Amino acid sequence: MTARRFRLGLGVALVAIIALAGLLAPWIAPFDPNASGADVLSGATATHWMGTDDLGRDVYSRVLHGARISLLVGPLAALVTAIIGVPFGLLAGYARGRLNQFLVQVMDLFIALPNLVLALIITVMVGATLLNIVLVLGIVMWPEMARLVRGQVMSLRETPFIEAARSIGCKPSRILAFHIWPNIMRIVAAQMAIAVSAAIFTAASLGFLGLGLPPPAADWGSMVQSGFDYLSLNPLLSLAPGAAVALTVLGFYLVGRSVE
Amino acid sequence: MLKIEGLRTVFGAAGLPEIAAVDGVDLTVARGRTLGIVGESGCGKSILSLSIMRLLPPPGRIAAGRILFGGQDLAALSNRQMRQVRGRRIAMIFQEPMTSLNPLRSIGAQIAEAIRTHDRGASAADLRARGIEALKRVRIPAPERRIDDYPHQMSGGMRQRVMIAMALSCAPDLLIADEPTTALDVTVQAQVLDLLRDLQAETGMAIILITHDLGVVARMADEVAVMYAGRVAEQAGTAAIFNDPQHPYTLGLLGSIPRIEARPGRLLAIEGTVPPPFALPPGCRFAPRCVFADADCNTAPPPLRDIAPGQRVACFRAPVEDIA
Amino acid sequence: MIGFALRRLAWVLPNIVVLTFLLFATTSGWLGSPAAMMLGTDASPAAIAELNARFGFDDPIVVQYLRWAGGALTGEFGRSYSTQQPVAAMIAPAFPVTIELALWAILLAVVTSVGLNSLVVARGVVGAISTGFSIIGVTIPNFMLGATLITIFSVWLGWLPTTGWVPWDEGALLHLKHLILPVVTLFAFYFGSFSMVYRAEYRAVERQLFVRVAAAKGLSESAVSFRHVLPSAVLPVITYVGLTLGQLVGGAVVTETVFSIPGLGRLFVTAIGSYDYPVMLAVGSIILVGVMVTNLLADLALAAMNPQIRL
Repeated sequence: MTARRFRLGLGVALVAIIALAGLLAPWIAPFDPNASGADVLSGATATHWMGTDDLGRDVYSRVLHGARISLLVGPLAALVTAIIGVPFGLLAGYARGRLNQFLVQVMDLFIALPNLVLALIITVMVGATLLNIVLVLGIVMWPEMARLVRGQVMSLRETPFIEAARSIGCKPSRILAFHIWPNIMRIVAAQMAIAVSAAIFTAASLGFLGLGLPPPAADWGSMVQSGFDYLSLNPLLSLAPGAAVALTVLGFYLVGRSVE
Repeated sequence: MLKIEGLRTVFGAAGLPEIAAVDGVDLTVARGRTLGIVGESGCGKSILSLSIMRLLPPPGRIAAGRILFGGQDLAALSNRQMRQVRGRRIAMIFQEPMTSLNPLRSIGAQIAEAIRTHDRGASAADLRARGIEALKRVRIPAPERRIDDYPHQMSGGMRQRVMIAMALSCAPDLLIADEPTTALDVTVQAQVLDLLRDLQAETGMAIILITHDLGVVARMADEVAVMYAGRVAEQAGTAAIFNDPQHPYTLGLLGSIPRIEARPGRLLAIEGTVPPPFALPPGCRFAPRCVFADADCNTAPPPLRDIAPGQRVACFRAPVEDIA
Repeated sequence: MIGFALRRLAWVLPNIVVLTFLLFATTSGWLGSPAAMMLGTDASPAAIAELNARFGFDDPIVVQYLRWAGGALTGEFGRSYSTQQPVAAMIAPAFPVTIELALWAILLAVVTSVGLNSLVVARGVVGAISTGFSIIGVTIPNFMLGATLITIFSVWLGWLPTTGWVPWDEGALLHLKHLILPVVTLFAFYFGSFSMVYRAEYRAVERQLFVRVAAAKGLSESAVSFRHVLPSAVLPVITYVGLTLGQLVGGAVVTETVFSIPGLGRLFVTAIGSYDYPVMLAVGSIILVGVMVTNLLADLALAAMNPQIRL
């Protein structure tokens, strides 16, 4: 109980810090994130707290601005996940017979697929734009949401109050919308937080593998990659954006896990 | 052989007030005898049995009292010493035969494990022979074949027999049977009870039989302890309990057994419910539901006192004949 | 059991066909002509048409797929666009590298997550620490952990090589030295996810009556834990490993890239970076088929271990 509250508190705090950083980035960042300076690959100094990258850009400012991208990509991708996954899960949980079997098999099939590999293939085909990445992430992550919703619907549909609703002649669509949905909203919300965390994780991995947002966007994953060659010179080039990803992912994950 | 003195078992998570599920219980069981412990669910009878075995689920613990068994105080034994007692000297069978056996292991393996735990030297062949012997004793047909069966291949009655075979495999001095027949069909119940009685006659073990079923008690027990809200309300020989109950709660319980013959006179149904352990009345715990209660009953808990030879009652107003 | 295996196989095989077809279709034109991509956006239509004819991009997609699948079955995946080498010759050395890396990590993760959580489950401080580690394990991206480990152990301490791979036959010690950081990186995520599943399962099994019965026999706490709780609680972990193998593969792809390990994952990422479709298609299919087959094997292992499933 107390452990759960601690986790929730920590998660909310992390998310709040990242959100503030992203929101206030234009005002608190000491430099323009995309402005190259003469000082290339400087280590951490009083002017450049985390040093500068190979183009002379201030790493600290870029990390702050990166929060904006992550906080855009993550929640939007989670939304896409829910838009596909929730109706699918509702249907798969409520339907019986052949339709149910078919939906479940489709879901199982997609759950088994490697998310990152799939995302890599689709992204390289459609091109790495913000919208595309959001859609791709939503498309590869929806099965988890669908499976969760289906499980919830399955257990709810056998409860007496749903049977009562059915026995007085409620239409399935009405039962799903007014009786089942309100009962699973909390869990869907928790799963959304976890989806945000997974989306940021996967987006950063895409960026690290070279499929991040095109330059000069301050994409955390791409920043880790471009700093990788200079680990011995200034590890913060990679570790600072990497830590930002890790903390954001952790924050949303903790929030999601403490609701269940 | 087993003598429980002032046993108090509490549950208390850190920071919360402790709740006593068993609160000052004294009981004795003699060799070859059967003590029935009766009460409604939540009266502490199962916690009592787990206290004797020292298998309380956390945060439960024994807070006070002694459990004297063969000259040792079980409550004071180390965990290692207690393991020597469990299974070998005191064995236990449970209410749900369907889930008491590990579904992933053959029953032979599970019986062998019980034997080997207390007899490290037993060879594989020896273990198998003793396993078959144990199954034979509980009258499982074709034990040579059934020993390799898995639990899901057996019926509930058969599984309870396997549980009994396993419990008796190390010839314990005391068997604790917690609602051993509750989950079984009526005809199977009778078979299992007969089996327990026959095995007791063979081995001379003592049995503590925990049940809410007075019919089972009447059939099996030599002595009966009636528990209410963590305490013993009345303890007496079985005949005395049924023919001459002295505690109003016992009267109520007897009134709630359906009888085929019509019973003239008033029917003693018990009004109300058992108080939860965190909201116990200050005096007699049964007072709020008792038709005989008066002001005294709410001042202090009544001590268990002798009212007749071999009959003890925790009631200020007993004997009940005086009231009417 | 054999019937069960056959039925599972009958479900997996069509899936493999459908998935590899989708993969083929994706990489061969539905989302943009590979010819146009290969030649760049300002290529002349004539050049595109010529390339289409040369590689057979004009044929109906099903015909192209069948041609490709027929070759794939005999180990013939065509030639790489960028290196002009046979794809099979590129995959052959990469395959065992990835398998070795993944096996080490999975094995270590299963042993430690099951072992540690059987010993310490829900017991005060140790339990909290183990929970903390599993949460960090599943949330820290592989590239972040990898970069941190390289910075500490290679750059600062100089104990281990930064990146690269040395095969066994060029020195076992050197091989292991190159293996440590990647295995740890990959292990962290596996450990975290296995731990969470196992711990939840352990708690559920612990409440079962047969566990109390085992304790009532006089077994020690660790005997109860390892002989009775563990076997029941570990089964769902096997299912889970099978089910999430796809996610685990993602970790391997990133880890290989971090440490420049010449495995399938890095091959795949390189192919993607250079729009090398034959390699992408081949490695992608191998990963998909590998995931499906492992999934099937996990199902069968589970059925074999559970006496209640005798199908």
